[in-house]
Amino acid sequence: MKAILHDVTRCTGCMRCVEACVADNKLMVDPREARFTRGPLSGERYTTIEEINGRFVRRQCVHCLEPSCVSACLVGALTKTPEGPVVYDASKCIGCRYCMLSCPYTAIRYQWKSALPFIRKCDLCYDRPEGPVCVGACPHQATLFGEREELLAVARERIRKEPDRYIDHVFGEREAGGASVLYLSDIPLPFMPETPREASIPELTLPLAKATPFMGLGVASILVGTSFVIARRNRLAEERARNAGNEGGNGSES
Amino acid sequence: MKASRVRDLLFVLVLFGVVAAAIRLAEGLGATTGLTDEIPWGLWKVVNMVAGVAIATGGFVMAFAVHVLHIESLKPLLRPALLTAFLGYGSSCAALLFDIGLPHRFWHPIFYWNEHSFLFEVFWCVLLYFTVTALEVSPIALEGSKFKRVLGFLRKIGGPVMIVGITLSTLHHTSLGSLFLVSPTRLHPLWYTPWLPALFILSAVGAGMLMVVLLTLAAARVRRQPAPIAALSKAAGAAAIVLGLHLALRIADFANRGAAGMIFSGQWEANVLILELLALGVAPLAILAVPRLRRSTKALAAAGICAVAGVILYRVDVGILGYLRSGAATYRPSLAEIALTLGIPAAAALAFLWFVTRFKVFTFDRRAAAPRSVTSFEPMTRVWSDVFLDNTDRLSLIAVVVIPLALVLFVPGLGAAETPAAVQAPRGMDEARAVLLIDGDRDGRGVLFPHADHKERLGGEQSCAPCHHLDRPGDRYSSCHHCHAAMDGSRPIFDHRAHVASVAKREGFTGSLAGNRTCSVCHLGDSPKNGEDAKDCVSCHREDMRMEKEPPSRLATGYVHALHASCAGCHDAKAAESGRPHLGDCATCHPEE
Repeated sequence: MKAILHDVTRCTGCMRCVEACVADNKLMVDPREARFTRGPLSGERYTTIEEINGRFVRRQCVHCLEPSCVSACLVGALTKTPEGPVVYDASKCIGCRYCMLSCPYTAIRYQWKSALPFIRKCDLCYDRPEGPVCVGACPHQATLFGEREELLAVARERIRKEPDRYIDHVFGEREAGGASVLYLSDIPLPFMPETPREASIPELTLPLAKATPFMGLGVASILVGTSFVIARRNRLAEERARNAGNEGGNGSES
Repeated sequence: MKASRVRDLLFVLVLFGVVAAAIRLAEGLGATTGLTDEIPWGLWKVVNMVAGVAIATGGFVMAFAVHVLHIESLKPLLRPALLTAFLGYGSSCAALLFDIGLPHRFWHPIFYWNEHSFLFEVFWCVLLYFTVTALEVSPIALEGSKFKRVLGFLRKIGGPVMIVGITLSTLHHTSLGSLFLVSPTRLHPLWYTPWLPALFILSAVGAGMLMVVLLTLAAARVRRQPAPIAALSKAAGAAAIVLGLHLALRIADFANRGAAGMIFSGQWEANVLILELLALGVAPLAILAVPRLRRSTKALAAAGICAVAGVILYRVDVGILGYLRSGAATYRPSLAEIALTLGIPAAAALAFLWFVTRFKVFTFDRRAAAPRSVTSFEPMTRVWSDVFLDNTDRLSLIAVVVIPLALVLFVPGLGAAETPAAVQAPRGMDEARAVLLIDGDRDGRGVLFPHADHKERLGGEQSCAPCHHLDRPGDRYSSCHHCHAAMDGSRPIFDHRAHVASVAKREGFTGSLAGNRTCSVCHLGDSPKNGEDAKDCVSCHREDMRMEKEPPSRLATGYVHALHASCAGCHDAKAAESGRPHLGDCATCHPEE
């Protein structure tokens, strides 16, 4: 599975990755505009650099291993490919924005200005054979692209070599079930979600979702059973009352 | 208030909503709503859908009471409850059509499935249940009509349809709660709990029953008929039990998660939660626990209003307010958003009034006991029925007043002068501040900007517009890089005419075609002759841009300069003092060299 390793300590914030991404995905008329203006992720920026505590931290969709957006999308417009990227099929989307609500990283963006808007997010350049354009654009190798297992090994190696330089933690390895975008950093990254027991979100929701049809069957059969039992009891009670009344009536007549 | 005034008010709300809906369709969500990437679900989804469906639960609860538990005494409330459900679900679906980004694709979930999505379950259950409510309500409309066989068929399938409806309702009311289980980290811990599905259905059932009580009371009052107080107090008592169960479960949940301390933390979220628990739990319980109050219409109405407001607040808390916690996220619903949120239920209320006047919904109502025949079309006086258009002139007047008002309110800038004022330079400004400290590239870093110098070189008073555009509010000056872009490429401020003249002079071209001969000096390709095929500035202006040199005073630094001079130098000096990783080291940037 492919992944990206972002080394926060190596990034100089030159924004070349952002410019390359904007140019390659044709997100803005003038890609230089993206490079020279800092800004959050948006419908016109699949990746951006945020300044956190004096460091430059690249943000993008982290392509979770078990993405909650994929489990949330009601039409299945989002899929996790076996190669790693979480990709979006715009032709299915109805614009409900549940994926945005479900994303633990708040990394999915919407074309709010459009009258017929779509979701916008990084797709890890899944259709580009040479790998993500942002990685190629980085002049300092602050961002690496490769197999996730190998990148994890690289990250651990870097931590082992320079333990003073990094927090001893590969961000994205296990958070919310793990992601295909990993971070090495010397500061805590506040956007990393802290899910209970590092479970992925689908882990929390899927069992319930799968149980729902059976719940429906259960409810329906309980309803039918209850209705039948109570109707029968009412009928019997009525009959008894009628019989008692008839007997009483007969008795008084004779 | 007279019934006709109520209708007028509803009509006004509907008109506002219609205008808002039109603007939404024309301009898109960004222009009409306060939604953001952080708060992607707003009033339309949370109030109209999640809360709207919750207060329309009366239909399935009454169907359960009458058709499953066979409680005959509640039968008078069944029809108004079914009608409430039909119109409530109808208006929720209508609101969703405006809320989703691509309304013309609303049918997609029928063909594209993701059965692991709670929203998918909600979609299907709501779609099917809406159909079920239509089947449940249509016999009321068909009574006394000539469609006897249709009516007979509908009555025959009535029982199973009710059972299907109750099942679907149970599923989607739990699923509506489960929708928010996807946000264990984003939703505030006051509201995020794995018990959301159970809490949602309990609160919906309790408040939905009280909603039916409220509507029945209102209808009885409008039509000056005695309300069926026995059935109402029975339903309200049951609702109180359900709401009590909900409140107990909420408290148990707080205790279970160890979150009880947060309730009285004084955070605004906690205070909203207390208000919500008071309205949805404590207040209706306190009122309905007293048997004497259960028989008073006023007390029943008070309990009902509390519970309905409480359940709406609960949904808004979970769906919107609970997501604001990061502090960075804000959500300010726009006027158009609020107008549509109110307009759609107002339309449903008008439909309710029309329905109860025309058909036998309230069985205790003797006046509607005999269904009237459909009014014929009367072009001179009444157009359709006596409810909607009983006073065409008055309603037209309302429309004429409301629609322009709505347009002015909802479309920002409508009616404002279209021609912008010219840029006015403040007098004496250049003398006072020849050099300004500005955030030239909007990156939060100030640079000293020689304003007077720029003005002089670019042509005095005529030169304001390239940077200052128009004098509109919020219209900011251009960033520095608009002109001072990459210095090793072609430049947007490149003065072509001046270069033609100076190149001709330098190369010694003379005569009338001197200018034409200069083209191939810079444009090396065949065509087109534009910025793309021109030589880099640096190929002539090498002296001005030598990397060894300090950056020329009036030109912006390039990245090489920035990184080598501005960054590396300082890092060299600081690395020794701070003991932190030496980022000025060549290997930081050039690991393989």
